[in-house]
Amino acid sequence: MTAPKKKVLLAPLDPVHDIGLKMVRQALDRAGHTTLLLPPDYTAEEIISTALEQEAQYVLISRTLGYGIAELLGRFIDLADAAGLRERAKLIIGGMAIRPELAAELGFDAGFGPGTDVEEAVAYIEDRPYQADKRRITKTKRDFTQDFSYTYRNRRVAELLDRITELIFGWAADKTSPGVRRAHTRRELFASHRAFDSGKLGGAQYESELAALRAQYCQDSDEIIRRYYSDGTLPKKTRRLTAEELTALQKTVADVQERFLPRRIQSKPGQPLVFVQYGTGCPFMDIAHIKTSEAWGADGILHFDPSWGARTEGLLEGYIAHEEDGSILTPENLQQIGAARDEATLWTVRAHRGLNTPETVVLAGEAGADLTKINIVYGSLGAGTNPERLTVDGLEAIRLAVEYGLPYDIPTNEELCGVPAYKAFAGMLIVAHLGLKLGGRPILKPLFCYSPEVMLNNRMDDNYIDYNAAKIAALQSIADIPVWPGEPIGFLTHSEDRVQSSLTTALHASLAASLRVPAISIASSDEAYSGGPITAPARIDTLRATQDAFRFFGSAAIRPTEQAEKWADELAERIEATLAQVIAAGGFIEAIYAGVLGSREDGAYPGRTGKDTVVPRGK
Amino acid sequence: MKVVGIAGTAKNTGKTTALTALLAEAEHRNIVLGLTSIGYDGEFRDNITGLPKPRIHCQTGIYVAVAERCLTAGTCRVEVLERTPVQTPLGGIVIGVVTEPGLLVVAGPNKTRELRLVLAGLRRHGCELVFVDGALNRISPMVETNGIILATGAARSPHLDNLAREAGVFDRLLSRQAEQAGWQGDKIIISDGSNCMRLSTGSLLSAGQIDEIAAAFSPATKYVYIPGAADNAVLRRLVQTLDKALKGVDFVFPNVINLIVGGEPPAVQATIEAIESRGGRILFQHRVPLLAVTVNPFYPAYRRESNRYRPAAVDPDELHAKVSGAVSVPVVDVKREGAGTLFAALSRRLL
Repeated sequence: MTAPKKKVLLAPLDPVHDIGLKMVRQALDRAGHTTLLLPPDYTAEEIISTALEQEAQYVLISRTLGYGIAELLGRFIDLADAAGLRERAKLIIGGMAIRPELAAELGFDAGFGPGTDVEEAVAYIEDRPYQADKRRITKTKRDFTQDFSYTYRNRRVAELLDRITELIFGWAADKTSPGVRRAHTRRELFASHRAFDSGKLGGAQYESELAALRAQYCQDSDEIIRRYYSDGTLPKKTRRLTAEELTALQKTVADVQERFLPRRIQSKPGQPLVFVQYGTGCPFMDIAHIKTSEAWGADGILHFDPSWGARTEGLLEGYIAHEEDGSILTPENLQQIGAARDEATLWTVRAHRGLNTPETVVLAGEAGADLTKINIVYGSLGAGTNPERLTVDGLEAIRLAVEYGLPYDIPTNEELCGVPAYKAFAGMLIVAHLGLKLGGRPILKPLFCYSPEVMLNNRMDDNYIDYNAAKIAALQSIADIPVWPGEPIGFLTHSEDRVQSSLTTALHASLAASLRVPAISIASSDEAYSGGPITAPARIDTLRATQDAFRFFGSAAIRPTEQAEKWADELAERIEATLAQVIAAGGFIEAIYAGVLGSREDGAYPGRTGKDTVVPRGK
Repeated sequence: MKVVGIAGTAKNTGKTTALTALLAEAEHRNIVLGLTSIGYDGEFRDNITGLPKPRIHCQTGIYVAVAERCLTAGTCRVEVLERTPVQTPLGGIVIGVVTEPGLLVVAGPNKTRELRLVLAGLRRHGCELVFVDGALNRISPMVETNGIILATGAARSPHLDNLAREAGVFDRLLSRQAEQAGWQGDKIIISDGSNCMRLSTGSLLSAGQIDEIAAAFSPATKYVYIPGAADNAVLRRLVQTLDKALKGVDFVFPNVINLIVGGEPPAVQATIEAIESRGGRILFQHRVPLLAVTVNPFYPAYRRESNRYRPAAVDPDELHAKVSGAVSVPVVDVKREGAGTLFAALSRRLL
């Protein structure tokens, strides 16, 4: 069925801007309509008189709006009305500041604003409903780890990792910790909730089971957590969300969902997925950030919890907001936040560094997260957790991640302490290999930024490209495991200038895209210098900047100099040498204490939180 | 049924304030009221400047003709009585009656013919007095009203002398009596009283038409009938071209508004005077009288540094005095004086 052909006059009421009209004209011509595009210097009288003469059925006016322009367009309509054109033609206005309400106020039959698809204007002229191009806006969630074979290209490294991980499994086989026990108690709590919800458990029995499990949980928790479960006392700077706030939150989420139209940042297949992190402390604000990020095309989100959560035995329950620094991990908070995300959005809940690592994986898995984050080495050397404790807990966390089907990334944040990349990468590969042995899908997450190591060793004196490219290439030369530059990319190249920060983020994103990595994490443009919660406009800055950078490069790429290859070879060699030193040191824990994976001189200190809490199993 | 239009000389000249006050004033006079708009008004913030705007409060019993999507945007409850065939970018126009008072977003028909259709609907539902809210500086649909209230003020121009002069010209233009000249049709006609020459167009918009009209002119020509709009610059050149031949010639227009849409009122007045000084006449078939002028000292001042508009104002006493001195109808600063004087002015002339 073909629509009847129409006669359309297109007139820019603007000295320069008529590209929109030209595009619409092209589409109308293609559809077989008769079009006439007037030059930009016609007056309203001339446009109307031409439209009458040509017997145009539609008159499309374009105009970039300013204050006096509203009156100018009002006058245009009046003249068209008095001249009888209004009865003969539909008048349509398009331009950067046009919305339907404004078109109505101006007296036009239709108004098309920024971002209007050419097809929408054509549909209007053909008098048929506009069908938004679903391919353009529909996003589907994909587990990108499925694209990797998880095989080693460097056999020697694989052998070393086999030996190291065997030592770890052997050492940890008969050990447990309060963190591991709590994770299992938490799973039993979830099982009780499910049994009650499905009617398998009666009310009274459910209550007594909960009481018993919580008592058991408290035995493995710190005083501050015990007090919460016994009399409801909340830690400082936290408060419960009120019933009103929760209702408002659900309403807001529903309202937003109704109008929600996701955008795509990638212009070509194969460009990396873009993750942003949230953790304002307030689930309400987190959700606002998530929806904003999704609306501007973010493919994934990362949950950041408060740093004290890593140093405290036990987690809270309930809808709890925190005044600063990260959003509290509770089953309810996570459930709420997770449910608010778009179904296409990948969700990472970080578990990686503290005393609640295995339990956090349980919470993430139960809340339906897609990914988690575990790094035993960084947690032990950069985040203050006792190496023995985090080895036992990290191992259990990986086991749980496998059970819940969660791929986990291993961020080498110890690079930020000053640990050289090759040492951090050796540690990362050990944690990855533990996962492979347990059937998991680890993701390598090297820093992709101006880290202390490169400052000290002059690796980025000439450019930011070569050394970052070398890091990715070195890891890719060792194994076919996904490499996700983190976290955030371009860290320490950002300043208080939002334009500058957006630009360096976009450039790092372009480099990552050139290196064909599957995902990246980006910061907001005010993240480094916000001095408090980051703002929504600053989030949009970097998402938009990255989108345009991807559009700019398309299938083209940034080409590193020859230096990148030399550094990549050097890194791979030193990673291998470091792994050999781990064995020479007698094992993983010993190597951590000996500084093989990051020394005190580098800025890495074995942590003390949770010291002496590792106990033999069954005790 | 009487129809009162509220037209502004520009955006933010106080149309909505005047309308809101008039609705409140009419409320306790036991009149069946109707309300519609030729544009979109009553939104919380101005669509262009982003400054807050008053919203229209409707009492129970007011009949409204608004675009369907307005009904969900406001706080008042409207029982829909009729769906008209008129379409707008905000949905089809419905006629309804307010059953629970509250704020209403009023977007109505924006074409003259459609306004006529909607007004006929309001008449059928028994309305005695209907207000037609203006939009921006739009005036052409106001030909469907029995009289208009002109809202002007500092938003049009902060130069009070210019403002007063313009209001005076508006007053003089709208005060011109209607003549029952029996011309009709939608094409320009040039006639000596018995022979008619019809042009291919109905409006006078392009300089190319001047030669065509001049060629059709003879010393016997008595009438030029222009049913559409007239661009003032073209009309002015026509006058200069025909010059002495205009003596004894009547230019007939359906109404003065078809001239006002083609040029700034002072320039239109000057053209009319140029025709008259050459011994010609300007006649209108229909008259839309000016009932009153409202003045608003507020204007949105543009700050280039921030690309924002901020509220500013001129001296309200001076504004009132200058405009009063230039027009023959009552002048009201609604914010200061309320709508009593304004309502009295329109009831004296219409009710």
